Parts: sequence; structure tokens; C-alpha cells
Amino acid sequence: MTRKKKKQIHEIIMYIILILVGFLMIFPLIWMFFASFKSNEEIYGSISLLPQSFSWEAFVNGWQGIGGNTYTRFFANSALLVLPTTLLTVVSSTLVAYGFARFEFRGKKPAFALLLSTLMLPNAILVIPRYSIFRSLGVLDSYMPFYLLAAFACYPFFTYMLIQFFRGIPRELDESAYIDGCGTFRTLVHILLPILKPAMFSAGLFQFLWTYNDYFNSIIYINSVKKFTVSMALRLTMDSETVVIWKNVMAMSCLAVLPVVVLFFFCQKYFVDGIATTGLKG
Amino acid sequence: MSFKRTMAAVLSVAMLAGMTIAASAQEQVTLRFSWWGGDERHEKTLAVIDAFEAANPNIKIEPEYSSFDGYKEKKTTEFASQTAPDIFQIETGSGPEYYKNGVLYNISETDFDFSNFDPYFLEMNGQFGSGSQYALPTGMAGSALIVNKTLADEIGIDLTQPYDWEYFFELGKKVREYDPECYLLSANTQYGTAFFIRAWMRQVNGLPIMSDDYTLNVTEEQFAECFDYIRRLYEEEVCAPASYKAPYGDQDQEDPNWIAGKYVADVGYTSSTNVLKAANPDVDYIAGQMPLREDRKSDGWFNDCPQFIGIYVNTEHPAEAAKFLDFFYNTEEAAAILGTCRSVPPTAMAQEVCEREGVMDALSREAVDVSLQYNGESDGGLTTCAEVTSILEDAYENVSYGAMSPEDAAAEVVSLLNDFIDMNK
Amino acid sequence: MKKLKISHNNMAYIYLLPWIIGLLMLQVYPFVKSFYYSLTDYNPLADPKFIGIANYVRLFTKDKEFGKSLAATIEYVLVTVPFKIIMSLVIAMLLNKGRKGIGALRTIYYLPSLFGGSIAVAVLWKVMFMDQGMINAFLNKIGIGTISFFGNPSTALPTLSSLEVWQFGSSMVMFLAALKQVPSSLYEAAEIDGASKVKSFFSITLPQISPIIFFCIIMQTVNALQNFTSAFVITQGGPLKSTYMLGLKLYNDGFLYMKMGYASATSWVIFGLVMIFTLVLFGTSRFWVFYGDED
Repeated sequence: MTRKKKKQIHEIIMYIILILVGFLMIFPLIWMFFASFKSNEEIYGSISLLPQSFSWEAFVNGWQGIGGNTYTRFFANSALLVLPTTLLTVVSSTLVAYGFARFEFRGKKPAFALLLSTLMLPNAILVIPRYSIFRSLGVLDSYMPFYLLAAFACYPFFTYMLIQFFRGIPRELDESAYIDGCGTFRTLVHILLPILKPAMFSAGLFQFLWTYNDYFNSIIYINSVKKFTVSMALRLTMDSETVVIWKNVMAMSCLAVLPVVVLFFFCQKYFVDGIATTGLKG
Repeated sequence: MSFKRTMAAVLSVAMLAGMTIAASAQEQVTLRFSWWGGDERHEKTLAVIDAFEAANPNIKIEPEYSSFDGYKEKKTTEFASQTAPDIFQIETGSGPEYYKNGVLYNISETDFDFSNFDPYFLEMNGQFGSGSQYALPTGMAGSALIVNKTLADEIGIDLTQPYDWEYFFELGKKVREYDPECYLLSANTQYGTAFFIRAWMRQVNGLPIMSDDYTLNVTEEQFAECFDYIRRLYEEEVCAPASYKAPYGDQDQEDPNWIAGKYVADVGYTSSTNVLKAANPDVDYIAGQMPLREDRKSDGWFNDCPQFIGIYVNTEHPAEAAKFLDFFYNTEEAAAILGTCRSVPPTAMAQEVCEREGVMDALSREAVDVSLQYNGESDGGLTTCAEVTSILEDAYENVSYGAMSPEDAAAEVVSLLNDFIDMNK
Repeated sequence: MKKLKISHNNMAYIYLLPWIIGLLMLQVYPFVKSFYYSLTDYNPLADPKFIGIANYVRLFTKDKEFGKSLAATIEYVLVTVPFKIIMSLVIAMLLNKGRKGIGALRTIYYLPSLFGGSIAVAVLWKVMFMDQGMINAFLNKIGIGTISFFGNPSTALPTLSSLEVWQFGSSMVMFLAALKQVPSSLYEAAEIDGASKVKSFFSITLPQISPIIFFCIIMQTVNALQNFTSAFVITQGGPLKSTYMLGLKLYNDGFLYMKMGYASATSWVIFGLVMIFTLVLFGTSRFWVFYGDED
């Protein structure tokens, strides 16, 4: 066998492996979609992927939500929670990252060490005391706790990520802006932000994702059903005191992951860049 | 309207008039009301809220409903931060704990009308020995054996006559011989603990496992005997294997074998009859009798309530909260809407309305009637508090899995319970 | 009046202001407070009572559940982290060859990692792995028979881990980026020296991307130690406490059994574990992490 032929076979095997594993990866999601059309009997004990018939009934029923609160409201709530949180996170993290990346202030080293150590602080440790703080501020049962955490740069991931990006921008740009008489803020806005835009976009996407997927914090801070987000509503839909109709749950799960998937397909590049540059969690 | 109620109404109107003359005529009040449940309970409770708001335009009820998972945890955070809702549903096991910690408002101090309730039932459910009503029972409930009559008849099993605990082994064998895919009992850890440990112990000692003064009433030998019984239930295949049941938690209606009618009976509560029936509507159901020991000190089985509703001690509007509860419990309108979404309603009035309107679930009613014929007393209190419950459930799980011998499990339970006593007393 | 002039570098404090406020109020203060709570007997319905280190003593000497919980947590970390790292490294290596259709494959591999911690996929796992679920139907078809994934204490934790490992996409993307930066001249030189593929992988690739591997291991360990959602939604810690990881124990102790002080002590143990893992990794890093150009 020639060397070239051997290499070709090698290639083909690699592709088969890659495609097989890829299929395994995506299979649960495909299965979830088709399960939205299956009765419980069809889900139990069957390996066939395709449903016996396609009817959008589960989507229509599931969308009704509970007690007059439809998924229209839950999605709107998620947007109300996620969008401002994302925006505030990006703004505050950019400012703070700028401060860290471009100034030699006193106490910079310990401050940076503090920033890094907050990265590793388990959420659980902070939950109870934070809850009492938000109570004394009178902002429970609203999205304000999320906004405040975002506005005060309490998501150290993004600060850290943006610092890394700032470091990649040559300092000469700043220097020449100062010489032209720009202040630090104008330098940031006019010179650095245009370069930083993709990075900020990446940070925004991740914050969007994490806030959107979050369940633990939402359930702690939000009480009223009319303020529930999609995640919380999903949990409510699968409430089990009545017999669970899995296709309704699966249909709403599909819709719940849809914004994430759509966003991903439109902004793939930014996700990949964002991760690749900073090594984010996942 | 009774004389008492009329007087109460006149008095409260007079008081209100006196109080509000200076202020604006009708102050707008918003109350938060939280409960857990499934779709049916949510829809019906919301409908009652609508009806109440229509009749009382100055009071707005903000509903906060959720699933059972996470409900208690949420309440804990709210108590910790004094942000609990004005009115909330309470797990029976947590009632005494809440009362002890002073988060419940004394409903006896409000204008709530108790006359529709049976006084003894009120005393046993929601007074916590104080003589005042700190929580209101939402209905009547108790442990129950929900029998798939269709299958039982096929195999020739009769659970409608009194029998003892050993009888299960005889029947279990019969079922396995009839069809190796079938089991006599569908029992999960949570309900199994209530049924095979707590009820058993009440029959043995005539006392709850732990009294409210932190006395442990059960000896290690007694636990070992009980756990050995549980071990046999699983080893002799009377109950479906523990590892099979575990993934469904306490949601027996989700077990496909229940849906397919492969169990003769489900070990559960009267309040779960609705959903169990709905999961497999093609067969007939009855409420079976409960096992009794020959040498019992008490029947052990009893009737109490599926949950309470209480008023938060820090509410700014206790009068309005009581007014809502009055509407919720004491009007025919509310009773007709609610039906049996919180088991059989607690008052004779509401029960009549349910029967009349055809919203009384016959099987629930039957299960409650069975539980009413026994003379056991509720062990609600320390025995049912979250921590003790989890100690007992862990033991049940270990024994049912065969992961621990009955003797070891008994020793462990006694040491953990003593530790609990040391920690909390 | 003299105009107040802030020196250039002191401008930093203005930009850092939101972070400083947030740090003090929403990070440091809660952090210190939770340490105080961990030294108290704190039932949220009453005021905390100071009891010294009794909670910690109890955790390590009396609470058998804690031992199990700790073991489950460490097992979870030891299963998921290496698996995730190896999976992502292998796939990244295969994808790094400039093959056709890589973009699509990369997308597919990355997709699951978008749903970290979401309720939807936790529910999906539950439905797929139940006894009558699709996976068991398949196992029955090929003659293996039903495996009670979430009913058997020995399979429950691995099944939960599989959900975590499924989401290896983001570390894979990081590795891909790192692999691209390995100078091809290094490989060429190795080929001239007659080094085998395996040898050049161990002597060139691994050292070159070791800083990224290091970072991934740390971040994923920190996350895995805190896992909560999947155990909470799917198994609730069972069966036989086999999936009762510290995150869940803390939640139950604090919110269900209302022992906030005790739960705070547990959260400090998690924090301690995070610190130990990180320090050990940092300590060993100089033996295996290769920084080409330190700045």
C-alpha cells in the first residue's frame, strides 16, 4: 500500500470518527425537538427518533403557560432581565478593565489579585448575605439585584476578559491620543472602543447566555409569577403534581434554548473569539 | 347567617367606619399569597382570587405560586429577610416549626369565622397545642392505599377487609406468581417512610417517634424490627425494587409501570389520589384498608390535613388577610371553585357544596373516609420536621436498597436522632 | 479657585469606582459576613448565636453525610475535569488539521456548551436516561438490557457527569486557538530530526499549549466543585446520597433544614477546596506548564 493511500484511509477514518462523535453531540438536541411531537407512550420505550405524526399542539398548549401568564410574558421578562444586565455588565466591565489595563495606580497589584480571587469565590458563599443587602435596599422581587450586580462590575469574568483584550492593544495608540490633547475618557471612547468592540460584543454574548440560563439566582430574588423568566417558567411547567405531559415540557425546552441557538449562529465568530482569547469557563 | 357572624360583621363594619373616617374612605391594600401545586390548583386558586377581588375592590391579591420543589427553601429565605408573603400555604411538617419560631400570625385574633369547622379538627390541625389557631388546615387527608381494583379483582386480592402487616407478604407472592411483571405495592421512599415507619411506630407505641419535648419514644430494637419488615418487603418482592422507583422521587404517577397498571396498589396519601387516577384512567380504583398490628396501642392511622394556610406575623394587613381567608374557606362560591384541589375540603359546608356541584372527587372522598375510621393521632411535630424526616428516609432508602442491615440502620437512626436532640434541645 | 487636577494615574480610581463599590458591598462584605455566619448557630427565623468553630468540628467529626458528600464532589471533579480536558484536546487535535467541513463540526461540538446550567438540558437528561427512556430502549435493542441510570447508586453520578462532559465545547475552542499558535517551524524541525507523531505531540504540542490546559483545569475544577443545578433538578442527591454533592448539601442544610450557620461553614469548605486545588495546581505548574514568553 502506498504511503499516500494509507494517508487517505487514515483521513477517512478520522472523518468517520469526527462525524460520529459530532452526531452523538447533537443527538440529544435533535431528540428533544422531535420529542415535542410525541405522546408519553411514544417517548417511553421507543428508540425511533421521528414521531408518528407532526402536530404543533404541544407548542400551542405549552405556550399558554399557567394561570393567564403565557410564555409571551416569560420571554418578555427574560428580555427585561437579560438585556439591561448585559448592557450594564459590558459598560462597567469595560470601564474597570480600562482602569486596570492602562493605569499604574497605587495598589494595583493587590487590587488585581483581589479581582482574580473573586473569580474563584463560590456563589453559594455570597447568596445569603447578598440577599439581606438587597432586602435592605428594597429591591427584592425585581430584576434590580441583577442590574446592580452588573452595574457594579460584580462579574469578574468579564473584567478579566476585557483586561486581556486591552493588553493586546498597543499602548502607543493611547500615547498619541494624549499628545493630541485627549483626556483619558475621550481616549477610551474614541480610540480604544472601536478596536475593542468585538471583545465587548463577546463579553456581552456570554453575559446574555449566562443570565438567560440562570435559574438559581432568579429563583432566590424573584417571587411573583408575573415576573418569572423562561427558566423559572419551565420549572413551573414541568411541575409534577399533575401528570407530566413530556411533549409540552420538551416543546417549551426547545423554545427556551432557541434564542441561544439563534444568537450563536449569528454571532459564532464572537463566541469563538471571546473564548479563545481569554479562556472562559464552560 | 348566624348570630355570631352577623355580630362580627356589624362590629367590624363599625370598627372600620370608626377607623377610616379620618383617612380616605377605602384604602387600597395589596396582599401577597403564595402556594405550591400543579396546574389544577393554580387555576382554581387564581379563580378564587379573582372572585374575591371582584367582591372586594379595595384588596388586591398578588399570587405567588410555584412547584413544590424549592417552595420551603424560598420561604426560609423570606423569613430570614422578613419578606414573606402575607398569606402562605404551609407544609404540614413545617407547621410546628414555624409556630415555634413565631412566624405565624394568631388567626384567632382576627375576625376569621371558625364556625364552619369541627373544633376538634381545628385543635388537632393548626393550633400546635397553643389553644389558638395559628394555621388553617386546607383539607382532610391521611395516608392511603390506592388500589387498582381492576387488577386486584383479576388476581383475586381483597384489601377492603381489615388485615395485618404480614398479609402483604402473602399477597405479594400471589401477585408475582400471577405475573412476574407486576408488584403488589408501588412505594417510594418518602411515602414509604410515612407508611412503614411512622405509622408502624404509632401502632407499636401509641406515640410519635419523637415527642415535642425531644423525647425519643422508640428503642433501637423497635427500629430494627421495623426495618427488618421493610427489608423483607423488598427482598420478597412485595414492593417494586427501590432502584427502579428512585428516579421518580415521590411522583408515583410518573412511573410508567403505574400508568400501565402493573401495581395492585400505591402507598400514598389521600391527596395524591387525583393524580394517580389521572395517570391511568382506564381502570377502577378504590381506597384500601390499612394494615394493623394485633398488639397495637393505637390504630396508628389518622386523618389530618394535607397542608395549612397561615398569615405571616409581620403582615401589615392582618384584617384584610383574614378577610381573604374567610372568603377562601367560608363562602360557597370559593368552595365550588376550589373543589378538591387541596384534597377533600375541611368544612362540612364546603364538602356539601362540592358534592352538590359535582366537583367532589369520589376516590379522594373514599380515601378520606377510610382514614377517618382509625383512631390514631397525628404525629405532626418534631417527628415530621424536615431533618428527622430525612434521617428516617435515609434509613428507609438504605434498607430498601439492601445497602444496610436492619440492625445497622437502626443503630444509625438512633444515634442520628439523639444527635439531633442534642443539637436542638 | 484652583482647578482640582487629578494626576493621570489616579484617574484609574474613577474608572475603578464601580468595581470598588461592588467589591466592598457585594463581594467582600458578604464574604466576611458568611464567615461570621459559619461561626454561629443561625436559624434564619432567629438571630445568629456565636458558637465558635463548632460547625466545622461537627462537619469533620460527626456528620457522616458530609464525608459522603465530599467524596461525591471530589469524584465528580475527578471524573468530569479529566474527561472534558482529554475530549476537548483530542477533538481539537483532529479538527486542527485544516480538514474540510471543520466549521460545521466545530459548531456542532460547541453547541452543547451553550446550555451550561440550564433547566432545559437537565430535564432533557432526565427524560433520556429514565428506565423507559430512549437510551434504555436502545440498550435493550442491542441486548444489554435496562440500566437504571438514576436509580442505581453506582451509575447515577457518572450519568450526571456525562451531562457535564457533553459540554466540553468551550475548552475545545480554547485548545483550537492555542494549537493554531504553535509555530509550525517546531514541527518541521522535529520531522527533520525523525521524531514520530506521538513524540512530537508530547514534546512540542503539549508543552506549547500547557498554559491553556492549566487555565482550563483550574476554571473547570472551580465550576465542578460548585455543581448544583443538575443534581438539584435530576436526582436531588439520590439514590443513597450518591449524587449529594456539597453544593446541594449546602443548599439543603441552609434552606431546608434552616441551619444557615452550618451551611455557611460548608460553603467555606467548598471555598477551601477551591483554594487547595488551585494552590496545588499552581504549585505543580512550574514542573509542567511551559511559558514561552513571559511578560
